[in-house]
Amino acid sequence: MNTKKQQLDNLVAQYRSINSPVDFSARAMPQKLTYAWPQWLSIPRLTLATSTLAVFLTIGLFIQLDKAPYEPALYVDLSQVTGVNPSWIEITVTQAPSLSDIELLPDMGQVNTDLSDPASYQPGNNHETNSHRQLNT
Amino acid sequence: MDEQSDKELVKQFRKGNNHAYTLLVKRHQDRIYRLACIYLYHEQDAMDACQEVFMRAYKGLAGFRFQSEPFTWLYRTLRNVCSEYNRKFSRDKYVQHDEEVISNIVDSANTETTQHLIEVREIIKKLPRRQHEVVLLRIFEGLSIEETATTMNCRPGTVKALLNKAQKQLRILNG
Repeated sequence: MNTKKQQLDNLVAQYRSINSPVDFSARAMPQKLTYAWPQWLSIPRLTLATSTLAVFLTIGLFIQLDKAPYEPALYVDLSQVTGVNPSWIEITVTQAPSLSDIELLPDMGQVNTDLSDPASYQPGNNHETNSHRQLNT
Repeated sequence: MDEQSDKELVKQFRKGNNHAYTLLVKRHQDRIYRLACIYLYHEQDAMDACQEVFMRAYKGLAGFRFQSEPFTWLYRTLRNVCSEYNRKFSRDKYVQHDEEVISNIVDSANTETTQHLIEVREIIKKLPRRQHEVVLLRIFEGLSIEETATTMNCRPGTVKALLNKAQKQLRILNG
């Protein structure tokens, strides 16, 4: 056992006697650094800044896209133009409308400009059409 | 200045004292070279790996956080570099017998040294990776239990246990 231990000790001593054939202190040190980035400009910081900016830009873009279709180019007070009770007017705008795109609901029939009869304000109960039917009968 | 600790040398190097870096490299280059010889299979690769380790140290010690010893940092860098080399130059490039391979590592005239490296490799290659690392650092490099534990990123108790297992294993293998 002692011989084996002695052999190992010898081997360890011989292993430790192996030295580097080269002096790496001279080889590993660059003589001159041509350019060094400032320390605060590290890659993780740049990545964080870029991704934060990208997130904000994306959110801004979505907000803009979200707003755009509902942004009316022209305000028209249809109740004043047609003389119809504003609660009757229902227009669904999916894109910038032209005047020909605007349709009244089918049950509204023709527009009644006679506002003296409150009963005629009921949807589907067009005063003028009803009078006309009465005349026909 | 030679008696300064590694950490003090790193602090001075970070202040711009290149002489401190030179001292640090001179202090550890033999040990790093020996370990590179064990982990790699070719003299030129071992020398290139050492140079790569010290180049990385030159660039990377600016960000050293002093949570471990500088040698631990160097050793882990060496392990990474050696793994990269072994992966890059797959073994089939060096399909040679150990003796032939190691004779490339050291001066061919120095046959005794070649024989020592073969013997060391013969001993550690029988062991699992962690035990192999413990034997190399604790027995052959002569690090203390604490230094070995720090270098291997484990507790001193683990080092003792691994060392114990390795010694038993070697006894079994030696008959």
